[in-house]
Amino acid sequence: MISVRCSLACWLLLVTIPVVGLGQAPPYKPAADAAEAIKRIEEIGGSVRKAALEGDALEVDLRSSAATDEQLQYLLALKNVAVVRLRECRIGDAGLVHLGKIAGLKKLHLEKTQITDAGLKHLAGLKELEVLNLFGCGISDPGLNSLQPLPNLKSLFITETKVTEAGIAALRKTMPKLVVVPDRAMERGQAEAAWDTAKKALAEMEVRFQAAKKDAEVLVPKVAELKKKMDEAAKKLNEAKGKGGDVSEAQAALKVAQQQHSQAANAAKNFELAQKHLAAYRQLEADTRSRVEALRAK
Amino acid sequence: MTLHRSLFLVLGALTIAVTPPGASAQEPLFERDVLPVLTKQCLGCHGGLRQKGGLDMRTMPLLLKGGKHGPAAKPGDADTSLLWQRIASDEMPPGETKLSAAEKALIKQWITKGLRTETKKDEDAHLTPGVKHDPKEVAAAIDKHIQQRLTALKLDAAPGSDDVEFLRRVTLDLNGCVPTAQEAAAFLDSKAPDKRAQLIDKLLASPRFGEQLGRTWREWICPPELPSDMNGGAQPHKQAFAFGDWIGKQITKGATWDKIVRDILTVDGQIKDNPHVIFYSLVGEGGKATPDGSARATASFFLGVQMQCAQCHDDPYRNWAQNEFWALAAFFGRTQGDFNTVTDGKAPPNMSKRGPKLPVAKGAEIVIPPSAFKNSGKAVQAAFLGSKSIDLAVEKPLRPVLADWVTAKENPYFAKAFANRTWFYFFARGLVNPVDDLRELNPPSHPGLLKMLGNEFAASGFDVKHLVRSICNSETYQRTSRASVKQDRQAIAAQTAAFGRMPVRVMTADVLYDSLRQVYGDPKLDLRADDAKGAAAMGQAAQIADPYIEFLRRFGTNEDDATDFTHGIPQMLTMINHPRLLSGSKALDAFRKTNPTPEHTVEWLYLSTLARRPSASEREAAAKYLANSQNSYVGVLWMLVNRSEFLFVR
Amino acid sequence: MAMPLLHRRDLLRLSAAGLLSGVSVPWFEALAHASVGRPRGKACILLWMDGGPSQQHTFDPKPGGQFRAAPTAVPGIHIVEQLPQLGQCMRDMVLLRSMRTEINDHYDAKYLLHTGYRRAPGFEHPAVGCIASHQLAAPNSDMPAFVTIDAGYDLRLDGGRSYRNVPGYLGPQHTPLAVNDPARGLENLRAAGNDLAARLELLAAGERGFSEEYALPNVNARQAAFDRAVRLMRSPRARAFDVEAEPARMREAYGNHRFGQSCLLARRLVEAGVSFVEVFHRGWDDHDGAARNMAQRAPWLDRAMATLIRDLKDRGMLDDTLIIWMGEFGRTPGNGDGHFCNAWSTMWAGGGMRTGQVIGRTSETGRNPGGTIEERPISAVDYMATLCLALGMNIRQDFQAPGQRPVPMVDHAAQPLRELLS
Repeated sequence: MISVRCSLACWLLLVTIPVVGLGQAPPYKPAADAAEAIKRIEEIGGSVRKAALEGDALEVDLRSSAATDEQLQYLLALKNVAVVRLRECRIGDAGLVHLGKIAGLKKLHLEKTQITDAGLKHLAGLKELEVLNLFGCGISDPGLNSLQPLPNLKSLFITETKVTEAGIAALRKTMPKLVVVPDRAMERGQAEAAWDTAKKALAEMEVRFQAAKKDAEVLVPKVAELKKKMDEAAKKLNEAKGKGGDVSEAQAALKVAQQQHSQAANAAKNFELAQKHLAAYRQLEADTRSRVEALRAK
Repeated sequence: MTLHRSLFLVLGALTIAVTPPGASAQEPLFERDVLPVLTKQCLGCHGGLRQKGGLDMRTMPLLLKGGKHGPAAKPGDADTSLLWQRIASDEMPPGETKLSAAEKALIKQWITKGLRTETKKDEDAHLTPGVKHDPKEVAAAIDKHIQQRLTALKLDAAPGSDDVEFLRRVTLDLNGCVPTAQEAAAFLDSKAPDKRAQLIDKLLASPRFGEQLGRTWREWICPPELPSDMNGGAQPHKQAFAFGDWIGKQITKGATWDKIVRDILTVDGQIKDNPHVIFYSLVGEGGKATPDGSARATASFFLGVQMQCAQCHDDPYRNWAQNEFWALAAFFGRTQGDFNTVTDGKAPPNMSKRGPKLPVAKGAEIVIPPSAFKNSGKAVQAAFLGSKSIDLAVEKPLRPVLADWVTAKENPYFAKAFANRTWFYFFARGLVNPVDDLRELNPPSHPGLLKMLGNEFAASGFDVKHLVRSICNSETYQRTSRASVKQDRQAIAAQTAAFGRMPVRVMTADVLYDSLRQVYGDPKLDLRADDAKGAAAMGQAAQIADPYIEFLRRFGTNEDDATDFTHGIPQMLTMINHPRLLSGSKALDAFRKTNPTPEHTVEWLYLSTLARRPSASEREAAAKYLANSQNSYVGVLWMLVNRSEFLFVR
Repeated sequence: MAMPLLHRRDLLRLSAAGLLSGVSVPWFEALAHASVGRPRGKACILLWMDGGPSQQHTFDPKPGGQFRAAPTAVPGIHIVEQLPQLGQCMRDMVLLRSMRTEINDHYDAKYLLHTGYRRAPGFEHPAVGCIASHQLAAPNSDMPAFVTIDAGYDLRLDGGRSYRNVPGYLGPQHTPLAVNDPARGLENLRAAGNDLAARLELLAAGERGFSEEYALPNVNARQAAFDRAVRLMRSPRARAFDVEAEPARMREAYGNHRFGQSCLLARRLVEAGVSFVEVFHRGWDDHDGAARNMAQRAPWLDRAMATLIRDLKDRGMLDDTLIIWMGEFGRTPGNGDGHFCNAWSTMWAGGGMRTGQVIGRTSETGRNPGGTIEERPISAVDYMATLCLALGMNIRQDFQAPGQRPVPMVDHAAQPLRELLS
């Protein structure tokens, strides 16, 4: 019986409410208890899970959901909410008012939401907050001031925002342990180190390449000649064997001829290999250099 | 492959008890409720091969006889029953795992209620053994057996199927494809009183019957590869298809099952003349025939018994000693083969690649290899299952001797095994389950019926079509599978398990592919991704290089349970969005050349896919859809092939 | 402890839950509860180098080896100079240099390293991606939990048959969705024709009727699967499958190579809620020596992986995303022309682990440097247990295989690398 109702409901919904997603949220209705809040959160395309295997902490995941500012009140009906993910939701400063009341919140993801500098002050009460992700939000230096009252903030993500290095430096003064991503200085340093490695490797490779090239230039034209010599040595050895005398001299001669020939033949191969290596090292050098240039331009 | 997989995959699905709603649910029965617990907990030490304390707990009489401490159970008195004393105190079983509280309660209740057993007899009162009967008589006898059991379980049978259900079901089952619009209309409009029997005869006479049976057996013997397959990386699709075709052609030629099995067991030579040589490497390892693989497959597919456990140790649950397995394998000890050739060599090949040097097998012996864990190095003389060693001329080929015994009318397994598999094919559930586990402790749900079908099949000279014709003409096969919202689901499940209702099955990939090819009029229907043709060049897996193989892989079903729906999002997306399914049907174009009315065209589409005419509301909905000039008939066709009604064999 | 698993058909039925929200049925409550009970855990991007990449030409260079070592961002840790950008990501990486996995055969090793079990005929162990799907995915998500991306091959196609991820007894809903070409995204995701809504409406009426007449579990399962597919097509999250939606500079940063674009797609998918992405790149079975092939691979490999790590970090996703780079085994010390399972390396990054360290050590000197493990051998089950733990799963649980047969998620003998996990 149940499953029949299930499929009927599916089909009705499929036709009548085709998209559970942006902009089509069921209207906000206050939730009486946690169970109802979970149900409502799931209705708007979110989920509530345990944050980790151990402990009671909860995570509310509303990424790309239909959640609105108003609906964030559902979170207040839940206990132990430690992580909230709101990436690409249509929520703004009004929603931060509700989020600011989740006392035990440790991680807050607000990537690509409509929040602004003005809204960040609502987060001042989040004394446990450790991670704040503002990737792609329309915030700038003044907003960062509102983060000062967050004693436990350890990581702040501000990639693709209008925050400047000066703004970060100002924040660091009062929050020296805060890790801010991106860290332009560190990035530049690493990019330069990578470029250094690639440059050194390329320089070494140039030397090896020149040696291989020289070898090839000298030896490759001789391959035919050396082949002929080797064949002659082989012939002589056969003749010596035919005569039944001492063949050790002829054998030694053949061995030398063979070595010379294979060295020449390999020179071509080694050169080809060196060319490929060189191309790869040049590519690495170019890649690392262009990254350094790009970072310097920023 | 199937025989291994069935052990693990099927057991779970088959634990659904045939529980009629009501009273008997409270009264435990020995076979249904108690034996599974004993099997899990006790029979390892108190079973067929080991009887510690002289106690064998496999059957009621043996339990009452008891061991050296006396009877294991006393009806109505748990406290004085040894069985209860030992398990209640956790003295037994001796290991770490004890019986759960629920299991204990069950056994206590069973003893208190008087050790009730099911009353089923291995007898058939309806047909004379040793004589071939008219299919109608056999069909009637099938129905009597089924009805008896339904009555005993206090279950009703579902009503008969309507013509549409029957037409579509029997056509899919016997010819592996939906009926064409013309065939459907002809049958539905026919007024002949025996039109169902006529249709069965017509379908059996078509070469498509053999083809469908052949590929069904191919699927059982060589299901689409999975990561654990022995033939990892080298699944020989082409050869497997050739093998299926070969079985199909034999059936079409009128070959009997004993002849086909004898041919498989004795084949010698090259694949170009004998496509059935592929059997040995399909069931072998790494593309090579192996004695143990051949023995396992012979046991599973032709004798309906599982011997894979006995390969490595005595199997206390099945009463097979390890020796017996290797005695069967010894018949294949000299058989060497790959995907292309099978031949019997002079000496048995040495099966151990590394490890200790083993003694060389002599004559009709085989030496147990180290991979068997136990008794490796022991020489075992060839023998038939259940018999002592037999006298064999060393220089004579061994496989024909085995084939004689396997296919003899007196063989206790051969006819029953095929009858059970055939039943499984139609009803998605064998009379014995798993289908290859015929043994005393795994009794059939309908022992009399299985015995009767085996007798009849043997008496007909192993005539496959006779057996199929008999089953398809039965009321049992012709019942409806409808299960309305208003009915109790438990009751429906019980009814279906007792064969009082037909199950709804999922089309196999082969059947779905053929049906789509027919309705789209496209023999080379290609539902691969757009870029699949260039796939090999782009370094993609070879498996998507062929549209048919790719279809089989993608739409493969559970060969152990035909009712199991296994498609997921990739299959659904293919059906919903593959452009080919919206880009026109040659079959539809041909019909449109006759200048039909729009109503006729819609009717033709329904008949071609669902084997029925549209209802009034369906006509109206289609007309409404078509009224939009952007929409076309192929949109209606798309809708029909995306219907659940299309995918399921109802 | 044995965790009760919902019957596979129940799970299929549950998969429709997203559509059913608000319909009060008993099992829905159970579902809500069950989903709260399981942690979301972390996402995983498995970069699978099919055929077996050489450790000495990547993360475990040896003095006198074919490739020279270069310092990384972590003092004292060296990797080959061919991977300069990756070296600078070392603070976010961990090198496991002491893998010892006992199987030198391609296919069996792929099975072992994907399932944590040796291949045994007749028993299909679920792949780790399927386990992640089962354990970590939100049951009502409109995104698939497990996606595989075929990154093609460069030099030649070798290294044996590709492993196919199967869910085994976890149920078909945990089968991965396969992307055959990162540039094209998920095949058949886009609606063909422009009248889909009209066709679906036409279909719905018939389906309703059929489900009333045939109220059976398999019919329901099919309708639920159909709904999920349609939901995915319509989900805004499904845009994640389209790498073209990414800004040109980001596509460029990952490199104009199919592997780089696959890494970019993997990031997009994880961002959209996919739990496990396996990118497989084939043709790493360098039987004529690893040096030349590795030199050619290095530029795109270095660029794509370093960009992936940095990009995830910039987005604040690295702590929640575990990256693993590996193959089914390593290659013989020296020129790397043979299979080698006795002492080889895998690279892990992110995942909130204690990164910036090396675990295990292989020999530096002797006749065959790198031929033996000198510290902390890591077996296949240790590896699997660590992976599952790092993703936030409870590894001390049994799955119920058919036949009432309990099978541990990870062999109980496993000794996970706790020093890696914070």
